[in-house]
Amino acid sequence: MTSVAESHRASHSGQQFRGRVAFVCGADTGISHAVAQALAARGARVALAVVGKSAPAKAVAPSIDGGALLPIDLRLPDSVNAAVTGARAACGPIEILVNCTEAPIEKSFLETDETHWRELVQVSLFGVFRVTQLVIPEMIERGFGRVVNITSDAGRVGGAGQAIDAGCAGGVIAFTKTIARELARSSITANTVCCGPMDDQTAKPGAAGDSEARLRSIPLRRLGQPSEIGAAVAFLASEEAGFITGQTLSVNGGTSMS
Amino acid sequence: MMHATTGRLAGKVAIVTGAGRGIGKGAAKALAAAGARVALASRSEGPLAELAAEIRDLGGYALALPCDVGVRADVDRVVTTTAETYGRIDILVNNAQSWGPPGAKAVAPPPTAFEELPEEWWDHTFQTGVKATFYFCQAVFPHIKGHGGKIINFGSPAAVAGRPGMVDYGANKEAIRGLTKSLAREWGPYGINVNVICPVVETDALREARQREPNRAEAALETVPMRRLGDSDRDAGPLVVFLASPESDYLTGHTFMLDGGRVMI
Repeated sequence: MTSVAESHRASHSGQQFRGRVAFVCGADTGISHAVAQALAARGARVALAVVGKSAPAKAVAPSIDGGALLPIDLRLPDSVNAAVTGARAACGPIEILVNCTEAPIEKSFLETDETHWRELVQVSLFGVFRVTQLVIPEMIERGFGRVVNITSDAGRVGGAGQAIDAGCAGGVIAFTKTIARELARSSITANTVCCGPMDDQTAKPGAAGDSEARLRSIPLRRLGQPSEIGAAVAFLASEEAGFITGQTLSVNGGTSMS
Repeated sequence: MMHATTGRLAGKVAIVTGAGRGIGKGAAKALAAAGARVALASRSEGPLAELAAEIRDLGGYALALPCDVGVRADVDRVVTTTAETYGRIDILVNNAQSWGPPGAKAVAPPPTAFEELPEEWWDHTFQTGVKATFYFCQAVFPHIKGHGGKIINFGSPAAVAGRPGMVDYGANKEAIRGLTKSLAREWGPYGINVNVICPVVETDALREARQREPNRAEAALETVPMRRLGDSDRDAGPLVVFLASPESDYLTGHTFMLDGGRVMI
C-alpha cells in the first residue's frame, strides 16, 4: 500500500511530473493555457508553443516558470522543427506531448471552399502529424512517453457548421488510436481528449453561448472549464495511467456518450 | 500512510463492492490513500476484515460490511450503516460481480456454450451484476442527491467487443454500461457523475482461467497492444480515484477502457 500512498502524496504535493518535460502546442486559447498550467502545477517543465502572436500567451508564462514560451506555425515544417528544437534546448527531452487543435469557425459545409479546407487540414491534421513525428522517436528511445491530443467532440458525433473541423477531429482520433497500437510496446500511450461545450472565453460573438436551452441539453447543466480539460490531460499524462491507451475521453458534461 | 485530512478525497465517503479482492481491493486502497473513508462490501468476510484492518493500521478509515450484493435487504443495510457511521455518502464503486453456477467457489466458470447455459447461471450473473448495481444506485441516491457524487460502475472489454462462451456475462456487462449512460443523463442535474470502467486486470478469475487454458490466455495477451494485464493497485486504483475526484467533475456517461489498448471505442 505504501506505493499507492506515495504516488498519491507525490501527485498531491505538486510533484507528480517532477523531472518530466511537456511540450504543449496549439492555438493560443484558454484550453492550451489550462493544460500548460495543469502540467506545470504538477511539477512538469512545460514548453508552450502557441500559434500566432506569442504576446497573449505571456499571461500564462509566470505559471510555467522554468519552462518556455515559443511561437509555432503548424503549417510550416521548418517552424514546427524550430519550436520542437527550441523546447528541447530550453527544457530537455520531451516525454509528454499535448497537441491542442484549433477552435473552428462555424460555417456550413456548402459555404466552405478549398482554401478553407486546406487551411484547417494543414493546422489541425498535418500540424498534429508534424509535431508528433518529431517528438516520438525520442520517447521510444527513452522508453516512456505520453501523447494526448485534444480535439472536439464533433470528431465523434459530428457538429453542424463544423464539417471540416469534425473531419480533422475524426482524423486525429483515428490517428491517435493507430499510434497507440504502434507504440504500446515502447511504454508510450496515446489518447485523445474531446472537448464538449466549454466556457473558454473564445466563444465567437453570436455563438450558442450559455443560453438556458443550451445548458438544458447538457446533462450536468453547465459548461466545462478549461481547467477540467487540464485535469483530464494531467491524468492521462501521468505514470498512473500507463495502461490506458488508444482511448477517446470526452470531457463534455455528458452531452454525448459512446 | 493515509491522507484522511489532506488527501484530495478528504472528507468524502465511499462504498466499494467486491472489495475483498482484485479490483475492488485496489480501488478501496487507493480511495483510502487519497483520504476517503471507505465502506467495504463483499461476501468474503475474512479478506474484508483484513483489508479494513490494513487500512486502519495505516491511519485510514474503513468499515467491513459483509453482504450479498444480489440481495436488496443486504444492500440497504450496507448503505444505511455507512451513512450512520460516517455521516454521508459521496462515492459508490459498483465492482462486485459473480457469474456461473450460483454459490460456486470458482471465481471464473469455464466458457459455456450458450445453448447449454442454465437459466440459473444467467439469473445469477444478472442478479449480482446489473441488478446489484441497480440496488446500490437506488439506495445511495437519497444520500448523494443533495450534494452530488460519483458513481463508478464496471463493464468489460470482453462484453464491448463480444466474446463466445460467456454470453450471460457479456449481456449483463453491457446492461451495466447502458444503465450508466442513461443514469448519467438522468442524475446529471443533481451533480452526480456516473461512469463505467471496462478493465482487463489480473484478478483471481483471470488467474484461474489462465491456469485452465494457458494457450488461450497467451493468445488473448497477444491482442493487448501493451502485452500485459492491468494491475489492481497500479492501474485500477488510480483510475477509480480520478473518477471519484473533483478533477473529473465534467466527465459523465463515459466508458473508460482500462485494457492496454485492446478495445478502442
